[in-house]
Amino acid sequence: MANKNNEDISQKASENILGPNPVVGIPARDLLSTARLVLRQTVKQPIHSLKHVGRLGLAVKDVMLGRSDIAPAPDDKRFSDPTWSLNPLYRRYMQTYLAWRQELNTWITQADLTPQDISRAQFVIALMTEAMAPTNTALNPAALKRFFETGGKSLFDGLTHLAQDLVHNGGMPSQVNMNAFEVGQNLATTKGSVVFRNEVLELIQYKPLTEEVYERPVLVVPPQINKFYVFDLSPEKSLARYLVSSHLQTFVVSWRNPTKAQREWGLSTYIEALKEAIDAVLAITGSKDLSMLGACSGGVTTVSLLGHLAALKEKKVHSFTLLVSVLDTDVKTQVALFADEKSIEAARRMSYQSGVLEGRDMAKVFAWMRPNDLIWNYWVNNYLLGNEPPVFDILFWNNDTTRLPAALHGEFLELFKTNPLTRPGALEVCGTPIDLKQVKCDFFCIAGLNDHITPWEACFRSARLLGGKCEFVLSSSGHIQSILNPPGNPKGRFFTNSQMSEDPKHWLETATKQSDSWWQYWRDWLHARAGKLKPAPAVLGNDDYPALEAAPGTYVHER
Amino acid sequence: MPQQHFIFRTIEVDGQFLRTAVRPGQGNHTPLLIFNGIGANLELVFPFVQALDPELEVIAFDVPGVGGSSTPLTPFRFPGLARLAARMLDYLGYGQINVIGVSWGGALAQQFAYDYPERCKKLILAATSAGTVMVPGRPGVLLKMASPRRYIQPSHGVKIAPDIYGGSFRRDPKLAKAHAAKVRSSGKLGYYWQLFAGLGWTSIHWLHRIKQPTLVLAGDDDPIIPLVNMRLLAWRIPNAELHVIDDGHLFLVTRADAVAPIIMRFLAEEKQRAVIRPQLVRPATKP
Repeated sequence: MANKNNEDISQKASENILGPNPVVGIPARDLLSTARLVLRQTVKQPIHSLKHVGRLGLAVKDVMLGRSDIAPAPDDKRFSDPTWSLNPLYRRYMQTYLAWRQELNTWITQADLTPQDISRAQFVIALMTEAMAPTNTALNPAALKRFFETGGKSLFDGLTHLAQDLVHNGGMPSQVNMNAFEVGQNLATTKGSVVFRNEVLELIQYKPLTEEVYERPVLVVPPQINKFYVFDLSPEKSLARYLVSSHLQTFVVSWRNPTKAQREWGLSTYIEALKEAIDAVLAITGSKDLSMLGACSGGVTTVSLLGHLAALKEKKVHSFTLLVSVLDTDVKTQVALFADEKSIEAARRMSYQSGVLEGRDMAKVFAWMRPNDLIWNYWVNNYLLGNEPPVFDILFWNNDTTRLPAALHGEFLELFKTNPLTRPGALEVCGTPIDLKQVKCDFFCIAGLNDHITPWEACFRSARLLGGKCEFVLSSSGHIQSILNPPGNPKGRFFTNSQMSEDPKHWLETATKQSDSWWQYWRDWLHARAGKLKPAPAVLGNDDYPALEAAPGTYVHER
Repeated sequence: MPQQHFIFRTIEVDGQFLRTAVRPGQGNHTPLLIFNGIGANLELVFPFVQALDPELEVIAFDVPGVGGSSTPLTPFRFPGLARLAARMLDYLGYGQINVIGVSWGGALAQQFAYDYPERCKKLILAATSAGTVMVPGRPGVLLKMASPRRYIQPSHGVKIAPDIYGGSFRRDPKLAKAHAAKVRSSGKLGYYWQLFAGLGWTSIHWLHRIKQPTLVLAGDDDPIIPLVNMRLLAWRIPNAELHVIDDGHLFLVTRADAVAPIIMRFLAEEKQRAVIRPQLVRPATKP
């Protein structure tokens, strides 16, 4: 039972983890001012407020008399314990809570405020109501049962976990047992070598697993805000291993984890570093061009690089792939609600002053965006039930955060705000203005249907900004699961449609649904653009770029 | 070392004449504004400016009552001076700048960084302190400092230089002569006004709110401001790093070649910053 429960929790969390999304945090100030706005609203519209209080009173009366049929949403797993529905006291407790939550929501939705203020207020009210859920209290029937089953040990364990988290985890419930994994030991174990290193990145070449390889190598550019080993997590969940076993020469970039000293690193620095890496890959493989893959913010970086190369008329990149990348930042996510001019400016100034943006702080903000999946279920599991936090590699990776240099963070914020990639010449990197329509090579684009970090419609719109021929594929999963999508998953689905229409909805309506993973589909797409087969090289690197050390290298270990 | 030119302008700001000197640079660095020490005219920092990267634009000026600037009839305080400096920058057409403050000018630099956070990008403090709340130097040294005589009578300056400036001045008598030769006095009153500005001034209660990336440079043989004061600054300013130099109070001038690279590294920015142009939006009509 506990095991199954653990899997559920981690599954739920991994569908919702932030992944790399270097945007704005929500300043506590904004939350407070929104909370004040909510409180003011009660006084400003007394009649409206009293009406809802009255309606709540009626609903509670029904609950007390046992005549209420209010029930939790079917996908709300919190109240799945039968006690909540069978025990009359517990049922009344739950129904009162649900009625209160519902009434608060209708009250604010119908309040006399601007739509944006209403959305913000809903967010703040949700923060409060979710925190006060009956399941988060010591009265939670599951917790009481555990208490009796274990003779009180669960309470002791829970308090121990609480104390540990207060000391080591900034008071947030641990999402994962951080001692269960070690990078290079049981994560990121695919064989390879670091063949090039500069200030900004390490370039890892993976050892071919086939006798023959295609001429044209693949270079993977991960996001800057997480460690690279999402592409080489475990032997089963490793895109790098999948590529080398599919006859492709595979190189992956591992970004350095910047500190205060790298405050001034911006997009141009990253692009210059990538240009060096590309030259190294071409020199090692003897190919005249390569195929690239950029994920999330790594995709933004890759596309900027391609625009820069197009401006220089250099043809070093033959084709490329974008994974869950948003270039057209006109998105409506929860974060965007709070991202006004002032908070963006404040976020930029804060990170510039401290030199870096801490990935940990970022993760915290996003945890509060989905408190039920990322905070309260751990609260229940770790503290109330006294269980150990789950052992789950994706969550370990997600908690192994990196920092972002202040300048890059500032530029990402600026990209988010002014959306320059949608206009030719509006972004200038390494001294050249960029026009994405001039990027004419074929590209492959993947988005996730259930991705609320980079919504797939935004990815779709972004794909239309580029000048080359696009193969757009929609996976049925969330942000990270879209990347980690090894073949053989019976539930795996993806949609393809060779007709790029104007409208994402229309594209999806006319799309073909395919089973299993997009990895295989993508492999065939890569093979079609990979040149001829040749014998696999016997050694990694070459005389100019000798193998320096075994994968996963040094930078990945920098905490 | 190619001959570098300074552009001198004397401008009128708020009824004050201010003598300014700008060493023009290339556009890709944030310009650096220098706040000089007490009684010191802007020529005294030229050796230091020459040592900096020629691409860096540098602005120096004589505070009221020093060098070529006019002496006000009434005393002034640091907040007023910081405002005057901001007005001067407006006049010369500078937006965001980096600031370096030396000794007495370090106090002004702290005030400027605190009062104009959006204007001052990075802050460098050299041989300075948090004002009244400090560990003072030896009384004899401070007494010598309390008089402008060394600026008015250069031979006296040469005599006392080893005691008050320490470091290289103890070892090399020629230094003091060279230093004294550049001094351009403006009379006693200006010096006393400057002393008065520092009277009772302290930054200790708001140092923790200076959020700029800050470089604190200290000489380890500084008779005027003992090293411990600089340690205090670096400890209180949240984003500060301390760098100790093996010299006396005027290391910026005597060790210019050693200090300049440290400063340039701290001020370094990307060579080719990404430029992001906002969309031109027509103002929305009010509903």
